[in-house]
Amino acid sequence: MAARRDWWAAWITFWLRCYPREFRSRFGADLAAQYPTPARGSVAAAIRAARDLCRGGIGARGDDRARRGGRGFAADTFAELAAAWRGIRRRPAMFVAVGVTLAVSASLTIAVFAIADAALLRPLPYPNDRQLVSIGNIWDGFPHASVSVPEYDDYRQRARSFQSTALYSSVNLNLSAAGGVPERIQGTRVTASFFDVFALPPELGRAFTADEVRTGADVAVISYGLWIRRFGGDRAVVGRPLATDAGPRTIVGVMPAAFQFPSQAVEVWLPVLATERPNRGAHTRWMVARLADGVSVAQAGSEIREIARVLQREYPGNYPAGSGWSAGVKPLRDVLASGVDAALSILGVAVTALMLLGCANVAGLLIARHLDGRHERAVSIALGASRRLLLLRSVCEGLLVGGVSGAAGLIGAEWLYGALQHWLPDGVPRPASLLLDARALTFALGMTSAAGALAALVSALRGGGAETVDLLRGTRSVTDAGTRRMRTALATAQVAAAVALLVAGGYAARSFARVLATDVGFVTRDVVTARVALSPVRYPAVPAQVAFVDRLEQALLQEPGVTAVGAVSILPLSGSTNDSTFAVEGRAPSAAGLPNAQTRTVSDGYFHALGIPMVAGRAFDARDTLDAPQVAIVSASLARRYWPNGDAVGRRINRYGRATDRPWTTVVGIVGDVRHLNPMLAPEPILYYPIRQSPAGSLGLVARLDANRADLVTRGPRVLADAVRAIDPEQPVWMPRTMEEWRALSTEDAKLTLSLLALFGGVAVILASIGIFGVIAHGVARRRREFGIRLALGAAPARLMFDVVGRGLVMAAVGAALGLAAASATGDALSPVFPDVVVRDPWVWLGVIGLVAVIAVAASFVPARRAMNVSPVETLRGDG
Amino acid sequence: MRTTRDPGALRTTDLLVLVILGEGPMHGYALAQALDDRTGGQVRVRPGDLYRVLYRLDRAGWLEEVPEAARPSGDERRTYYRITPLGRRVAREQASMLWRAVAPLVRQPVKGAK
Repeated sequence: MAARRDWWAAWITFWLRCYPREFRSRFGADLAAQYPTPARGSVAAAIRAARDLCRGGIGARGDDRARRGGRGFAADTFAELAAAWRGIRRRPAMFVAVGVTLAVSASLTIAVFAIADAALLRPLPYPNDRQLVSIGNIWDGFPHASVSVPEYDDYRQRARSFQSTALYSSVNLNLSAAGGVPERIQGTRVTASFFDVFALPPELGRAFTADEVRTGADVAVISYGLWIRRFGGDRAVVGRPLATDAGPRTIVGVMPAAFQFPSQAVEVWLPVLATERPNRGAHTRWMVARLADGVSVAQAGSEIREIARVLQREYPGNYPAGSGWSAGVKPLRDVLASGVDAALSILGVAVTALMLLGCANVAGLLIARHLDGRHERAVSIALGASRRLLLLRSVCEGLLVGGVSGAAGLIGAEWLYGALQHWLPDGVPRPASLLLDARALTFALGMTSAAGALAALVSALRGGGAETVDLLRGTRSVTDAGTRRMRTALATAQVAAAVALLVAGGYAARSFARVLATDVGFVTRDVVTARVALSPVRYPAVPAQVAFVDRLEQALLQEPGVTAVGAVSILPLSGSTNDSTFAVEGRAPSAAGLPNAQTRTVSDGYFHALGIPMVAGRAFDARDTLDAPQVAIVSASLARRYWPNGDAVGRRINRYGRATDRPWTTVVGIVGDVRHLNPMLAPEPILYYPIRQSPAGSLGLVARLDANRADLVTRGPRVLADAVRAIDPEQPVWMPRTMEEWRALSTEDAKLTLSLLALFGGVAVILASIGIFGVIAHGVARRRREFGIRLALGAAPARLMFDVVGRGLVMAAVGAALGLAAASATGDALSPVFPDVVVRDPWVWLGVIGLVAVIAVAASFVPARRAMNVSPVETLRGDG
Repeated sequence: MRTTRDPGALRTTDLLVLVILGEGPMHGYALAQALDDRTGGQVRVRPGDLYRVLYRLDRAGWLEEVPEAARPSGDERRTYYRITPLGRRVAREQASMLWRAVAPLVRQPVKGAK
């Protein structure tokens, strides 16, 4: 209420400025008292008060003092806004063109702003969110990595910079079928201090007690989403059981909807496992903390670095000198948003270019309008209107058109925002709709109004310097060379921006075409996939898991049309990875430590099912049991790297690193390389272990289908889900997808960037062609008399046309050269999204230059025809 | 303060304000109400307009603020305005001038006009 009162007082005080200072000091307070703070939501009252105060302003409406400039600035603005609105209504076509140009460019800018705002600027939904930090290990090549439990204890106990610290790690669990389908949900194991760090109290119930965490009690805190979905928002849910496949857990609390840490997908929080044996080398946890009051991130960072130096001396075995190990503190917001900044910077450059282009067009259109209205203005000035007032009128026009375009642009932005949301990192708050978001609204209206007003001001200053007397005398001596140069420069800049965008789009498109044609190293057609996670209660050990996979594979192979099946710990192209270090027999570890490779656990049929070729040796089979000697299959690039002589089969590695007391693993085969993470990245070395010797709780199932069996292909991944349910109805199956879908998803970022560049490039080309057209058409109109005389003197019409089109081409050529230079300078910015992008690709250059030439000719053609058709007779008579 | 006896062509609202203030000091809101009542709703002024009139009359020296001590008890916070002797004279002269000018047009005497 107090805020409303302050706001209202400021509003009235602002409009009181319509009155002279002398009046305000005498009557101001009394007059303001006539406008009491209105009841809630009274926008109408605010408008009424403003209009009222403005009209009542001393000297408004015919008072003598007005002529002497006694009116306040606010009253002038209000009156000029009204005049501008009348002007716009008189000549709508011109302002529709301006408005559409601004709205189109603004919608892209607003959408990108909204994404950048949510990812990088908006506060996290926790009290004093700037105090929230993530503490992580630093290794060579990993600027912020996970920590181990002993490291957490050391940082927690030794550091003085934090008021609270917490540890968490991800865990997935199966909700039992009881009362519905079995469901796979994501969870997080947390220490008791976890919820204290965020300082956001539960919506219902409570957080964990220290005792519950110490004893590893069977309790759970659930997310708002799960509460609504699984319990229908029942407020009596606290104390009820959450049925998981590992037994029931008691729900002790429900978090509010805003609490989405570590990600939106997390639906349940559980106490950390209390029984685990701490291992300094097991970096499987993440650490969050809240800075103590008055401590900066930098101060906390230097304290943590100092602690790391001490730890390195205390545990030299864990942190070898060449590993580049240290520890650091990062703001939590930066950690959440890491990875999006590269894409956003590309987008930011693109939309800024586009917005400038739009503004340039608007300025060009307004300059033309100003040239038209010069005579009218000269009359106004002659009659005593001040130049300041005329300038104010132009700016008001710009403000109005800008504001309206901003509103229109916001609607376009809303649509784009839906497509772009995919880029937002998990765990950062985002507005559901831009139309209802105060920040997006402020940005949209503020930016477009400012752009409109600025363009209007520029055009008024450039186009409005009317020499009153000359104009009124009717002489045509007024020169607008400066204005013409300015417009030409603007149109050239537009071509440059369009070329830069098109070239970037071209590079990206060529890179993406190569990606689509890339051989990923395995078959993606007619392959269906799904994921299962075997419950540790019902499938506690390797034999039970193997039995399940065997049964499933046999059942699936019975299905007509299924030609091959397999299982793998992590599906290729699914976005997850897992790597570990290993030792190679007879090879001393390098200074950087042990070799590292991706590791996968696979079933016997996996390679066959995905068509991954056996290069040498044998596949896994029923011989490779727990009691048999441990075996592995390596990928071709791994074999080349460690056994360059081609004799990898039969050699031994130790998957437990330097622990030489553990059994060695023999390489029994070599398979082809696969691009695991995405088709754009080079294949990584992979170590494959057999499922019979290596437990894998979570599995990706793959089945190759007979392409001729249309019915089966339509059923798609459901084939897998049905087969799993037939064996174990309590077993959730999730992410049913075809391998082609995984492939498309893995390149989605690149595809989105590409589509946006194409969209921006297309809009930029349209704006640039409007720009060229405007300049050339204006030039032709101005030179009408000259063309008439030349035609009368016998010039060939084609020659005139060539002259006009030539001007357009020169503008396009200069713009294209500038654009190419800009694109060469910034082309490298694409490499984070398109790793194998080739900048300075001559084919792209040729294509873009050709396109721009065609557009320049097309845009100059209509004015050129007009030049050809000038009637020499009329011109010479003086009517031209 | 610069005062003037020259009313020029006093506006209707200005004259009405002077006439009403001639009956006793009043604050802005009451003045607006009185204008409304006195003219049967014919003259209705917005606060902004009313203060414009007060400003003009004040500058001419025809009205003044009532000092705080002289305001009705319990209402010291509101600004009261009262007519000055000069204002009274100007209003009377203006009213009789108008009266002489309009009397032939008016069949019946206007109630309340002095």
